Amino acid sequence: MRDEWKKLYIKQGGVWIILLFLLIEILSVGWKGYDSSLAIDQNQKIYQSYMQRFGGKLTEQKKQEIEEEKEQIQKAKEECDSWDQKYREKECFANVYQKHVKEGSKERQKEKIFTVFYGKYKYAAQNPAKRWILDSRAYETLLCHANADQVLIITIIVLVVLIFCQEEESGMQWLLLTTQYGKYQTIQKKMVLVVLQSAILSFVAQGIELIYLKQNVGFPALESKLQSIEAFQNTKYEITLWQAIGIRSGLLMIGAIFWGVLISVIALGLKKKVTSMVAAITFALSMQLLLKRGSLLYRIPSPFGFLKSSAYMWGDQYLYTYETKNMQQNLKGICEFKAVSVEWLVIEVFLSVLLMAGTIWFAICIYRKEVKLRLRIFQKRKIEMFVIILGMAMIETGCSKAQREKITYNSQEEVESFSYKNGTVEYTGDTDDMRYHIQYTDFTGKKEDLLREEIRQDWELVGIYVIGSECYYMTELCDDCEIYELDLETGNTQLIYTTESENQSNFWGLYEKEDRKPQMTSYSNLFSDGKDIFFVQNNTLKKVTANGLSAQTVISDLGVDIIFEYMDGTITYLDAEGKEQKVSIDK
Amino acid sequence: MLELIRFEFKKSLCTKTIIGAFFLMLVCNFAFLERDYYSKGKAIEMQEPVTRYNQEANIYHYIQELHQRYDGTISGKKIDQMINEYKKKYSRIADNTYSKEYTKEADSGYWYGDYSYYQSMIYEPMKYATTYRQWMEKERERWNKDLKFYHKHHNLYGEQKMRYRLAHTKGRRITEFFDTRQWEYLYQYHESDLLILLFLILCVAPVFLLEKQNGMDMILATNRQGRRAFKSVKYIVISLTGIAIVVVMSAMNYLVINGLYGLPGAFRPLYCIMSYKDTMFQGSLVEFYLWQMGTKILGFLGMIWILCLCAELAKNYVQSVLSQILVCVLMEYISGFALAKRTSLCMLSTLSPMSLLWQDKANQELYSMKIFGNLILVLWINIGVILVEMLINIIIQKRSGE
Repeated sequence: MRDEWKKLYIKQGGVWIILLFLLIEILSVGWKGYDSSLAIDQNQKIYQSYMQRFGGKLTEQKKQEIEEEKEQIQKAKEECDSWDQKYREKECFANVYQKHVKEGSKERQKEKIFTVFYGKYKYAAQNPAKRWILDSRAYETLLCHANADQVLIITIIVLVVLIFCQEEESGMQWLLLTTQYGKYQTIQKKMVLVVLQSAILSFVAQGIELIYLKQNVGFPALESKLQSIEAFQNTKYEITLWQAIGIRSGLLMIGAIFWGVLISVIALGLKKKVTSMVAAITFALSMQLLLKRGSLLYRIPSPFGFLKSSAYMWGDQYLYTYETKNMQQNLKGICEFKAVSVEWLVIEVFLSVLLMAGTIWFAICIYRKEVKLRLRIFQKRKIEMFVIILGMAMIETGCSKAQREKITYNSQEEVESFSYKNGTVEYTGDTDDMRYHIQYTDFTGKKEDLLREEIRQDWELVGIYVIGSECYYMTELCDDCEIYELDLETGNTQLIYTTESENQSNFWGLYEKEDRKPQMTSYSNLFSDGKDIFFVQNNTLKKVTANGLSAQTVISDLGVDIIFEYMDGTITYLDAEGKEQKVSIDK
Repeated sequence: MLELIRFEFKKSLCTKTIIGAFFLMLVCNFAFLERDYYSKGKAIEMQEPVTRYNQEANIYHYIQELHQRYDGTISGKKIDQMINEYKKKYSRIADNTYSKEYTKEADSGYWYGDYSYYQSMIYEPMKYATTYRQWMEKERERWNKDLKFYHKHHNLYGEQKMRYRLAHTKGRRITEFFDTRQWEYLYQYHESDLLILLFLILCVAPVFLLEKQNGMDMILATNRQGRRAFKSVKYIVISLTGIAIVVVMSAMNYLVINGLYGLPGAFRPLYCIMSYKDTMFQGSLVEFYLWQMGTKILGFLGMIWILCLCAELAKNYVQSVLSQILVCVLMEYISGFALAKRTSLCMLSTLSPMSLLWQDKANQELYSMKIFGNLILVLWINIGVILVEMLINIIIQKRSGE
């Protein structure tokens, strides 16, 4: 056994492949991140305090406290709104208004995150016996996605191919078969190595993911039921969360072992390293692509189902298409995913173990040359290999320096007109031609439309800012925004920043990265100091980075009414509590 | 030279493994196309079903019947008939008192279905076809105004852009009505590209590593022919194989999709498809497919040369396959920025030859960049980068040969 380990990891450089696997696995886990929403990310502390107070099993006392909290937030909101109205209608003085805004700002800040939390509470209140209130981000990351770990799949392929093909290619195989030890012992040890290696690799891959999630979001209330997660409300599995994670890990391990064993047969049959690797990769990708839709993959004993193990615990999933057929009344759901029953999972695991045992026995027979597996499809009528590959396919089926200029902003007095060259630049929307215009009006009153490129369909122009001969304008749709630079001299337009992902590659549908889309986001107060571009996203002031690829948070606690002054790189603003604060941007 | 090419081809690629893999690749591709065909109309990514093997055969037959009735040259009589029928169908559901249950009297089985399918499959596409000429004339008027504006403001890029648009959209009109969804599916089907890449990895490794493995590379390095000509031959063989495989796959996709769904109006202009209304491509639907195939060939040629470099630098088969897979993943990711609107990301995407595989979407509008104030099509930058990559490779080869 030690010889086999040494041969693979030292002599053939397997240790470098393992190190490469660890590196890519760590990078991919960090890149994928965890399931969350912008509301939670921006209000982590408040969210966690709610979870600490009300998390766990729902009791009558907690119910009462949550409803009281809701009433308090509602009351504060109503009070702020009424003072806001009074101030706008000039029924009260500014200092009185500010005092009240200050008092109610904390509660209003809590409003958004409380909405998220309240949704969880409502869900749990429907069935308190099975559903607990918990921070489910880590569980959702682990259990709500069915993506196979492609790095693990490829690493297993490479390592297993190295175990078998080196001797086959060099001809050592024939020498080994002449001895008793070589014929009977070596293959057993090689198979043990395949099984152990696959199991350890899957264990390490999961370990990396679990450690990352534990460090970043944690696994609270592990003893609560799986139904505590909203996505699992229809699940047939009456298990706790730690059991669900255990089942997922176990199935993934079975899948990895099964995959390793299957590669042994491919490697022993094809004998050549490149051929075996490319054939196995093609086989894995083809099966995943072919069965990417529906639940067939999880009903047939194959490694691919187990490698996407979270899906086994899902409930039935429906796609509702009432708009095309029966309108509101007769909403018809098309089953997109049929849940796998507990009984069937047990049968499937049992069948897979049997199949694995059969595959191991088959691999041993090929190794000992008791079964001749040859590619003879181009020789007279002999199409064994073709049939075997097709048979295996059937078995596996289941698919940017401040100018000395003072910029003052008040959300209640938004600027829509800028002076430029003895004239003004302003934007108009909702015109007869249903288009937005950025127009320059000279001192004689002559107008010229400077915006030549059309704004994307359905997008709304939410602000412009003119500095020098540059005009920046911001468009918004749902939770996304785009910032463009319009050269007032030439009419040239170019995109500076966008919240949308510009990379459209999904690796042929094999990898789908879920964008953490900010929800209920509004964009306003676009301005520039001639060097950097700033905008307000909800109650956060952001600065577009020099390369335009991201936006940095400059101020995260702007008050409900966005009031700030900007001069010489220093922003003076009113925070959420109504206190005056100063922030230097250049630092 | 020809003799050497034939010899290299026989030695490295005419093996049972490569030929077997080739046929298996075709079987896989066929399976992908069949999967789309059987999975309830999702092939064309529309809610309306197109496949015959559908649970709701009524809807399929209803859509077929509608197309049989309206397909062909657009005439005033046909439009009147279509509008009358649309009004009739709309009036039936307008007051919301219609039966919402399944009924044999309705062509699709449901009254709302009759209206809904008629609107999305006939009314909207017919409206697009009949109003396209007027819409394009309005657009051209706007571009003419923009041209004057840019000329006045000395914006050479904007001027060239408008001139390009005006030159490529002259006299556009749609005279025939037919179902165009199949063509969109044909252009946007990319799973065969993945199979081509995998096949190329399989081909490249033995061509470059066979001699290394046997120690023959040392012997070959002792004569001039072995150092220079022999390597050039390897590149030629792999490139020819790449071209052949793209042509075979494209032909297969065309034939299979034509057989499964039918590809009507092959010689009608590309802008007949609604999503291509802003296209600058002036040819027909089939010409666009051939053009797409041509750009794919160039893209894969670029990839082949990068893969060959990986294989040449690798010491063994494992290093070769792993480095090629990593390069493919990296190139596919970079090519994802091919349609990016930010110039920096778009420039980044041109580094990957695989950006040329995005031509189906890139041709939906004018994709250009401002370089030294002038208009350059992103496509030309892509091709230019591939040629530079090839040139660098040739220089490296020549130097190493000396």
